[in-house]
Amino acid sequence: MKVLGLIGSVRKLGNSEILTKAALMGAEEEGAEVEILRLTDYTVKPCTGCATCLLQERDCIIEDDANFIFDKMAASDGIILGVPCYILEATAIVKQLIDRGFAAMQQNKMRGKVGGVIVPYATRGWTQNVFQQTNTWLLSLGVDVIDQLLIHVQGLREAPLFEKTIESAHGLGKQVAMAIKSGDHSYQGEPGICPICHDRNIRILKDMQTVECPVCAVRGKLQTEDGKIKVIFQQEDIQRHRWTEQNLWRHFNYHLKPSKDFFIKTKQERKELVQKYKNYLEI
Amino acid sequence: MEYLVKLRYFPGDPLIPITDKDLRSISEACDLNLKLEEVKGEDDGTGEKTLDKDLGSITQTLITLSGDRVSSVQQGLRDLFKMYRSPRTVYSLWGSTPAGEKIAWDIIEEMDGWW
Repeated sequence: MKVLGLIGSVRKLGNSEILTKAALMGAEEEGAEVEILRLTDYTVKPCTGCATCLLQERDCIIEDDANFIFDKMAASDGIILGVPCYILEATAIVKQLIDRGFAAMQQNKMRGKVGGVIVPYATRGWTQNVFQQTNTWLLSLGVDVIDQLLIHVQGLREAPLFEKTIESAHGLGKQVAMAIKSGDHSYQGEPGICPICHDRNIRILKDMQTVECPVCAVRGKLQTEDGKIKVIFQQEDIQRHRWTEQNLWRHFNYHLKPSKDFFIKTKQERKELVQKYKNYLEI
Repeated sequence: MEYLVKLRYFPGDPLIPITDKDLRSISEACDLNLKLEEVKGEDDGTGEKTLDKDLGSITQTLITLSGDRVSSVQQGLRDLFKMYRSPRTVYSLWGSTPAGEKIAWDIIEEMDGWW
């Protein structure tokens, strides 16, 4: 049983690293072989949108370290991501890896692996989008995220000052290892609202009747009972969430690959229309 | 002037199955012609391959809507999108006439845009 820790922070022995290591210690106690990578030590260039991975059904052709990171994840049974939240969101390396994960999404090599997420942050109320990113990355790869922690800690290396934070991270690591051993990948963290990612962000659609998880695309309805808002999700809506293997296959097969034929069909028209922009403000 | 709109729904795109009965009811209410066509792509048992295929030949539910009044076309599209949601892809209107495509784009943005 291998558990891989991924750190999304540049800072050496910062809170993300300390908390991820605390989690890996917990996993190790449950018998896991552990390894850790600092994601920012590797070169991960932006996705160029070349679509080679899609149209040739192959690994990304960009020559950097992204494929190495995805291979490491694929070779593990569990993944613990420790990433700081600075301004509402996770650090840029996570977004970079979301985009570069396109080939890995298609290959489905991470499906069914167990995931845990730890996010140290400085100020309450400044974390609203962070799990959208960590979930977009891990759920798109098919990882079963079983817990996600927001850890309130501010300055460099402060995490060990607060025993509870270390205990929480340590416990998450144990949970990840136990879930791998038992095969029970059910979610164990704060319940949240979305039945898939368990985040609390909900988008109101334009019909003003329907709400949707912006990450998982699960749609539901709002009800108020005794002055409290309830979000009601039907089982059939939950089952058709964005990240199912079937839905991702449909997305690649019916939404993306046929675009090649459209691209060919519109070649002449595009060639004519683009001239206006080609000769304007050369960069 | 006749406005022709083709709406290509690929597997999983409509929220509920598209039926002749629903289309007849919209057709009568909006005084439009609505035709339903199911296209079945080739599947060798390992799943349909859609790369390098004509986009009209891959599995899809194709609704062809036509009418000569803009307001009828607009209302028909609104009723369709309310029931099924809009198609998901840029090429889902392929085969529409330019005037029909413009109306459809506007209604899709109105009903199913981000805002």
